[in-house]
Amino acid sequence: MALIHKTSILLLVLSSGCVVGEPLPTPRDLDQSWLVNKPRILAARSEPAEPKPGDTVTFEALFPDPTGEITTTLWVACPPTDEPGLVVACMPSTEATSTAKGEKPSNGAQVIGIQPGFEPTYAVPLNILDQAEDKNEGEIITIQIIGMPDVELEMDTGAELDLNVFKIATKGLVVSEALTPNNNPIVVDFFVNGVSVDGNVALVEVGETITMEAKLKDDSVETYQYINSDGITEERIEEPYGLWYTTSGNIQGDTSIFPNLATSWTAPETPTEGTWWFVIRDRRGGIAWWSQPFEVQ
Amino acid sequence: MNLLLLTVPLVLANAPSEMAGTEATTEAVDVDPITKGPQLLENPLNPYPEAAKEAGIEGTVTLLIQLDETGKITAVEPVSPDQHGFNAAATEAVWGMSFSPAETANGPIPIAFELAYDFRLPKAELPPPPPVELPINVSGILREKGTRRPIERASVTVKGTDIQVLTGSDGSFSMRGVPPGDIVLNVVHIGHEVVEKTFTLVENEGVKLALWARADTYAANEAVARYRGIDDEIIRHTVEMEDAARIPGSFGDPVRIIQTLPGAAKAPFGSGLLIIRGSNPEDTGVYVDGVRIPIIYHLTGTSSVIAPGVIDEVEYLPGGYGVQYGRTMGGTVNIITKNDYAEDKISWGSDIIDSQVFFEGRVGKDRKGALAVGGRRSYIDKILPFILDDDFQISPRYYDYQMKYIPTVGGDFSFFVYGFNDRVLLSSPEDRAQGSDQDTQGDLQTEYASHRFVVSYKHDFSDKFSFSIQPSLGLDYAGFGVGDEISLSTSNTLIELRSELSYLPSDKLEFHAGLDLLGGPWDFLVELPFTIGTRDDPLNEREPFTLDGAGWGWSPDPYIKMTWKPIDGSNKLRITPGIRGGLVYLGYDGSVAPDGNSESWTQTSVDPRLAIQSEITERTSLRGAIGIYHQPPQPFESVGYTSENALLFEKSLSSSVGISQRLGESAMIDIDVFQKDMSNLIANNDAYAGEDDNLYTNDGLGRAYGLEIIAKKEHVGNFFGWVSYTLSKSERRDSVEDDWVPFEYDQTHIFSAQGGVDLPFDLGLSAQIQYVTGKPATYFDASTYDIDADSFTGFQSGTTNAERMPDFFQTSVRVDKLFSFKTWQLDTYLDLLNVVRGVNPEFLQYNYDYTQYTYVSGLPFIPNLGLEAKFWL
Repeated sequence: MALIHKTSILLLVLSSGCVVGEPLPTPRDLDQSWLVNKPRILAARSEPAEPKPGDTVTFEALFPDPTGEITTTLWVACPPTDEPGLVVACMPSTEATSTAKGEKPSNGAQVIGIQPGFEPTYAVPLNILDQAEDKNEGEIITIQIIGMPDVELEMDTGAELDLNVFKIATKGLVVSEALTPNNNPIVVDFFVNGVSVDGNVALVEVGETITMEAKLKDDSVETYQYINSDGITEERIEEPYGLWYTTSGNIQGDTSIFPNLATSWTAPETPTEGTWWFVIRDRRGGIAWWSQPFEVQ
Repeated sequence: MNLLLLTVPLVLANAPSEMAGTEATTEAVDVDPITKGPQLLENPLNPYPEAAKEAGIEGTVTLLIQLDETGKITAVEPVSPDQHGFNAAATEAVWGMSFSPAETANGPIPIAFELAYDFRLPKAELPPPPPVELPINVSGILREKGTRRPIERASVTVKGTDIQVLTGSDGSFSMRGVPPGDIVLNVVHIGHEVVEKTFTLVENEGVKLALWARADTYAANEAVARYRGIDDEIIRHTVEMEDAARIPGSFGDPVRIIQTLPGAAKAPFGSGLLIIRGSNPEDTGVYVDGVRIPIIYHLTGTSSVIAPGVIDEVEYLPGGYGVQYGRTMGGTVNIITKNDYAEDKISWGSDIIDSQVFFEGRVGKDRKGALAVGGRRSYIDKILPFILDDDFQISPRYYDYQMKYIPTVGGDFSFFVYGFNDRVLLSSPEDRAQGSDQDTQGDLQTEYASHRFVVSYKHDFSDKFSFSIQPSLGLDYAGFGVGDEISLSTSNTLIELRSELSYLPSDKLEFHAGLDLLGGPWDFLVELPFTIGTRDDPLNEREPFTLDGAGWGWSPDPYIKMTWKPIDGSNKLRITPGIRGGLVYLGYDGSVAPDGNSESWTQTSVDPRLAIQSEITERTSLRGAIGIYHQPPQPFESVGYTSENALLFEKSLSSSVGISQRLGESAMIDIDVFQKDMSNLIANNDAYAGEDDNLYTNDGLGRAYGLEIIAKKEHVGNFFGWVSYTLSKSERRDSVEDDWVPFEYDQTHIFSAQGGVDLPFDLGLSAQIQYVTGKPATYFDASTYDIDADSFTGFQSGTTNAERMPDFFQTSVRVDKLFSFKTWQLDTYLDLLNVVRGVNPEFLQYNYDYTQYTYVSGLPFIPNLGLEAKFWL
């Protein structure tokens, strides 16, 4: 028996090899982008989606925070620039403030909102397109969204700052005088296994695999005019795509391209409550989303 | 000991009457030509067994004699069975002899040869001859099992009688007057197992026999261990084919063994490239018989693009190479194909990766010509879907082919056609979006193809003049595509010409003048659904984009070199200066040309190089080399610019010194130190100012230095192996204002040990251990999220390449077993690759927001069962 045992061990080693050192997680073991298990800025949108100079713009973010660690959200508008990397360095302060990459702070950065309390609103300067090469194509104002925990900032002391405690995202705001300015798409309904949730919490069995589908408002996919590099006006149709998120369970295929805005999701093996999110982008800066609570029974 | 079996007849000066008719056995093996055979200088002893003498018995004893480099006898072994005390007497006589050593052009060498020692009585003492010669009644042919080679000078004896003969060059033998009855034939030959054949001989009838003898060790028969010492090249590691193919992980491919030699760093997984002495992968030139090919390995990384059957040896030159090679700053690898295929055989090999068929043999009238034809096709793309449990499937597929024809072996001409095609397909389920980009949906495909037709002509006009010319025509293709929307392709028709005129006025001097021409038309086409600058900007409207280009490139590089051996024309001192001129003309047209107009530019370079070598003793040689190496920019860095803003050649000033020391009879050690200063390196242009500017600059700088050691035990006896170690440092900076940072492929310690042992029953066992310092890395600290593009951008706050991935470590084992049958052999092997291994990171893999990472490991444990059947025709 001992010989058989030793032979079995030898065969096992020879049939699988032996890894020296700590085994590595596989890429699949890393956090998946569709799993919301920490504060995440999933999306942000402006209204209107593509303002004209002089318009007043309001903003809204899809910023779930399952751990509750984010206490403040700062909104900053950064003026158009060709300087690479400046988006990161766009801080609403002057020369005294050091930045993550060491560049000089940009001029013209403006705090447009601090949540809670000060909802983000931005008045587009009237002269924003004065230097624009093509007012129909317009300029892009970068909106920076910074989610901050309740920590004491010691940036002026030169102490090392762990940027990972912040959640930083950017959103481009297109300002133009286009003939057909962009509008945000609108999600009008959400289906589970082909049935509309109709504003209710979706109920799912443990371990069950369901299909989820989002429906856009009929005129969400816009036709618009584009003047190409040869000066010819083209009529184009938006090609939206959607991303799926969840607080638990498993999404098979987190990207959907219009018109097939569906995916499948497998519930966890234990009862729980959570949320699905569907975020749709029209690739022109227009964004919309749907938040759908679910309960696994 | 490094033993050779001679082709040169042995002259026995002052042979006594008893040795009349004595001669040396001859057998050709693949070694440097013997310029002078061993000479018998003294033969003081003439023993003759008294009993035999009194009985009037004569005889012949075959002995195997070994001499060292000084001509001293180191071993004497009788081969034929003992009769009448002749063996002992002959052995005693030989030990009393003295010989001069055998010599090649590189000096004296150890040697082994067979000697037939005849005992003949003076005529007066001979008994009266038989009145009538008896008829031949036993005859036959002796061949080696499997290979069917005739076995020459084997002793064939009828047991219980005095009847003994030796087989001829065709393995045949015949015996007269064998008495009828039950006969036992005893066949003895050194290097083969003893054969005993029993049969019944009927009176007045004859018997014709086919006898088969198994070789003691087939591997030893096929390759004689050797080390090539001083040559034109300053460092030249010659890889033995059979030994190399037995190393675990080689998949039977000797070219893969380059990775185990000093100076060669671990290459990126699946790149098919080489990284030598701290240079970029594209800095190393890969050649087949001097004709450049784009990659050396198939994209799976498991085998070279040239099938092992046509290869004679693999020349690996990590640095200090001569002026005949150019346009590169790194190393050089030249795969040299055979110039004869003497054995008529068909072989078929198969393992989990691919299958191959190969024919070689003599052809034509009187079998003067030689032909080799082979092909290989992978099927790993059909197997991987069953192994990989992943949404995305990777399907690598390749094939290669070779045909070499030599109209007259040893003649002037040869023709060689070869090529390969590699394709890698990355696909995902059809019902799943591949990312959010609407223009990058569909399968991703990469394809490389290369084909060559080469004609070689070499002629010796006299002892002093020789001329060679090698024109070739080739086609290279590279393509990349994603779905139906994105495609990039480039094709080059390559016209190459190598030619050299050599003049050797004396033993001390050699002159060589040559031309290394490379050129031909090229074109490329890029079709994208978006302009490159707008790909990453989701708010920018996309427009279809097409870029095409076509043109001609020519690079006729002349060179001259001289070899001067001032000390008696010997290798005690060998000085080789040379100079190479570099010239590149590039003309192009199409939308890539500036302003849509045809454009061209020409650049030149001069590369002086010097190598000095000295064989200070028979066992010790020193060497040193210094030289300048220029390398033209890569094609994608060259086109689209005018002469004013075209990039210059990259440049390297390289030097090295080294020592070779033989240890004992079959071991050697090489130690080299090297240093490289690289300038004009191509770097990204951080101040790029738009269309009229160049995306790149020549401001980059590099430096590399290191120590290389290889200790090798040649395959004499039952064991072979080598250990190599490289200690090196390679750094780069984009301009003089920047700090030095580690080169992205810098590997401080590279250690490799491998060896094999021949076991009884035609079994072989081999193993390999490799250790390499982890690759430099720069880790991300944080990220921001671009909401419009749904992409995270990571930020690195540390110094570039200041950290390292975990080290690389792997151990592999291989078992070989050879089955020999009368007319064929079956070679089987089980390659247990990566039996013990580290995590062996190849790439960093981050999660979506750069807060977590892991490594994508290299090859896992792979048990590879391989078969190769050889049929001799």
